[in-house]
Amino acid sequence: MAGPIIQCGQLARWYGSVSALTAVDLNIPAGITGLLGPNGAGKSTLLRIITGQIEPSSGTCTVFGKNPMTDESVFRDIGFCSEDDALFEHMTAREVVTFLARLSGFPRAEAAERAAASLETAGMTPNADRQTTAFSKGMRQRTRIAAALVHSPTLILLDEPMTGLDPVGRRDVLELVRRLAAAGTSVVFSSHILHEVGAVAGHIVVLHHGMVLAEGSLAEIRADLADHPFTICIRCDDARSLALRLGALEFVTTLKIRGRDSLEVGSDSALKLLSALPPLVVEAGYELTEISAPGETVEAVFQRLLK
Amino acid sequence: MKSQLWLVALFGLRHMSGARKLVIAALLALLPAGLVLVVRWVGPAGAAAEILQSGVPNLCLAVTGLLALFLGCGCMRDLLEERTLGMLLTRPISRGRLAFGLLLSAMILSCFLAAFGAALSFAVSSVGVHADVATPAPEAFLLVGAILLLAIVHTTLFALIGLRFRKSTVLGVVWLFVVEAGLGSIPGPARILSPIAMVECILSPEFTTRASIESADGEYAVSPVTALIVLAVMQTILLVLHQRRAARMDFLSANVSADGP
Repeated sequence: MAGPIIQCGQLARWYGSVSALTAVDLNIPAGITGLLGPNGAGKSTLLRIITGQIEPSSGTCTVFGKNPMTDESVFRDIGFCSEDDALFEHMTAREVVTFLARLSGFPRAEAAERAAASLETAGMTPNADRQTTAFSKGMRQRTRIAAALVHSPTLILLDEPMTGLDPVGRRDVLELVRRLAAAGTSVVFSSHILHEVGAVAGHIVVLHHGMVLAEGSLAEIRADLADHPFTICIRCDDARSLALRLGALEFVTTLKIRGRDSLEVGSDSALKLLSALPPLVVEAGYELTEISAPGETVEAVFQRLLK
Repeated sequence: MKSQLWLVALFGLRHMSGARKLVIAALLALLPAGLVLVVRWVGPAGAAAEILQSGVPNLCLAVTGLLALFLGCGCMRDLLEERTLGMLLTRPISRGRLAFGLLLSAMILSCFLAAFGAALSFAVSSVGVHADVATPAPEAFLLVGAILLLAIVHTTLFALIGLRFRKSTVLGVVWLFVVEAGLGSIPGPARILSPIAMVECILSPEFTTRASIESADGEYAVSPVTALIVLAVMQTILLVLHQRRAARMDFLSANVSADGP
């Protein structure tokens, strides 16, 4: 799909005197987008505005070009799974999902078929006919995911979808997100767990205190932060000689030789170090077997953004 | 879509019927019949006619108000507090239709319980009272019809209060005391604000209510037809306000304190 599917312009939301979102400008493209931020960053508020559940205090938000607050037809294309650990009580998982499918406009028979399929996708088939009151947190979460998928939306918004799930469940959800994206469904999901976002999201939005700190692919966000202190580990045929050459560069701040073939280089400018290294290696004819940046996890990027 | 409306109404009925709330509402509906039974059991001979004439209608009107308050205020707010309303709001159904569907379920339940309670109270109080009359059916129909009318208007009123205010139950109780019990007892045009007072006018003179007492005293009284028109106008205004409020409402924020999310 060309162009952004979600557009937010100067979006702000206040709860009394507390600002949950401040001047958020966002263009979320098709594909997998991760909303990253600590608790209270404004992720849930943003998702609730995108799904038309709450009105922004100011600014605009459109999904597929429609205002979700006033045009309910957009919900034919949106599936939403909230972070709230709640489900309709005194109903079975199948009844909940079938009811929501019918509310999405499907006739009884088709709604039942779709419910069965989405419960299967969410791994809830063995418990589909049990009352939701007896469900564990993880089972309620899977049921909500099934409900979000039941009408085959083209955009699925998942608010902290891994909450309450065990490691296997978390892996299943990440796998499901990948499968949905591969099938052409766009997924926007929020998480405060950084490696989950880094593992699947092609587009990342970093939120903190209701503001967008960074937006783009992980590589783009890293590029924005290129001039930060940076450490790399190099494995080459002559670590000592390479260390001597690197030591002559003014932006190299630390050098640690870890045996004959391994070297750790610290710099106050990642951009300068990464630009200088390739010509130096080619010129001297070193044989590099590995370059790694152990500190360059999504978490490290996030921590730097917060600073 | 009409089917969506009924789907939501049926869901609302199911949701309420599974809750402890239904048991409380049912007990409330049976309260007048229970009281009548006790009075007939321990009261003096001849008390039954008086109970039927004045006790039953007044008790039933009061209980209908409480039932409507209990079911109307919570029809939307319960889902909001359970945090499941978002699952309905993110479906292709308008807020107005969603709110109306839930109101419909509360209305059906309060009508059923109030009418059942009134019919049972009438039956319990009338058995053996009018030996000369073959059947008191017209009076029973009048009472049940008037109770249904009150249940509809009151449920809509309290559902609107529930949409508008967080402390809706407290405000509903205040309404019952100030408008229904207070304003409804004062002769004068302001009485038309009280649905119970209007229903009392419909029940008069077959039953002894505040309206029939004042009518006999030559004070302010409203004819049954005028009372019916007032109730119809009131219901229309309440429904319009309810729909307007629901269409514009930021439901989830209504459950969020001013201090933060």
